[in-house]
Amino acid sequence: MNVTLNVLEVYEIAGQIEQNGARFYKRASEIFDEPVVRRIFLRMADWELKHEKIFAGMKKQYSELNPDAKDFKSEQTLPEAKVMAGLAVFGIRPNPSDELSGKERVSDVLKRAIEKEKDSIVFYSGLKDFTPAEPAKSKIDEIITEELRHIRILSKLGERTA
Amino acid sequence: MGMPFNADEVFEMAEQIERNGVKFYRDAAKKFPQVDKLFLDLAEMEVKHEKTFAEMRKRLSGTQAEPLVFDPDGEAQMYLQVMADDHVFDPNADLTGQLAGKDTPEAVLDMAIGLERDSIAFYVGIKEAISRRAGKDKVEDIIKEEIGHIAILKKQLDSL
Repeated sequence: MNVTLNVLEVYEIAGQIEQNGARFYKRASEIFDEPVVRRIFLRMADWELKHEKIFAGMKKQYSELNPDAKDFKSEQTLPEAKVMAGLAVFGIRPNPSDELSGKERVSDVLKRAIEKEKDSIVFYSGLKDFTPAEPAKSKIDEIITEELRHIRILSKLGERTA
Repeated sequence: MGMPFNADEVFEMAEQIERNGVKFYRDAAKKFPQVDKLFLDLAEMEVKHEKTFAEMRKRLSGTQAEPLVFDPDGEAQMYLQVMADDHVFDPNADLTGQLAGKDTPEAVLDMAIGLERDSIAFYVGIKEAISRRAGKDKVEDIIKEEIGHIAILKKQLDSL
């Protein structure tokens, strides 16, 4: 299967990644009793939902500016479409909250969370080039910076709970 | 958390990632002749990346201990440290051993996609941490090429 994507579909996948991330962190917050762990996971869930809204806004704005966008096959307009389809492998994974049985240790969840953040960073790095113009490019840069910050927060939490 | 990195050390780690990648792809090509052209092509591309990082490092050699960009809270450092704990940066990483456990081209392609992903995640951290003078744009170009590698690998995986 050789999939290509259009801009709207790519924004949708980005939104899905964030929604999956939020679900994962919400579920993680339910597993542990330690207030600091719960609070950080809930905060992460919140941040991911904010990112989801940003991508939804980008999608809306793009479709308003380009009313025919959904009718175009991506390869007709964007040469990087196949690249994004390759990266989508990281975005389109099963519902991540189902991955957590509730028996994990904090360190297990943190490890998985860091892997997920890396998936997002890689997908968004591709997305930035796929995105036609500013200000969307800068917004994606900001989201990448925030995802990098999430990894640092998760890592600090790992040191604290070790 | 370990000692902070300077630009020289960061580029050295990037070179090591590329060297590991070259060896991995060459070993994979030997193991699976049916997809050896793809793996050998990717090995060649990683050789070029290694050279690029080596040149960037050499250019900075006059200021070997150059710190990364302004990073008062050590945030960029911490990200790189987290990434550095990953096996992909270890010069003794047993990628060959891991490869031995993969019995199908599909499994190796999957592993290769994972390694490319880890490299990209580290390079994004480097890009974030270094100045334009130290080669931010070149790191961005390499990220784009590594993203292209994932697309190539995924296409091959889908065609099997």
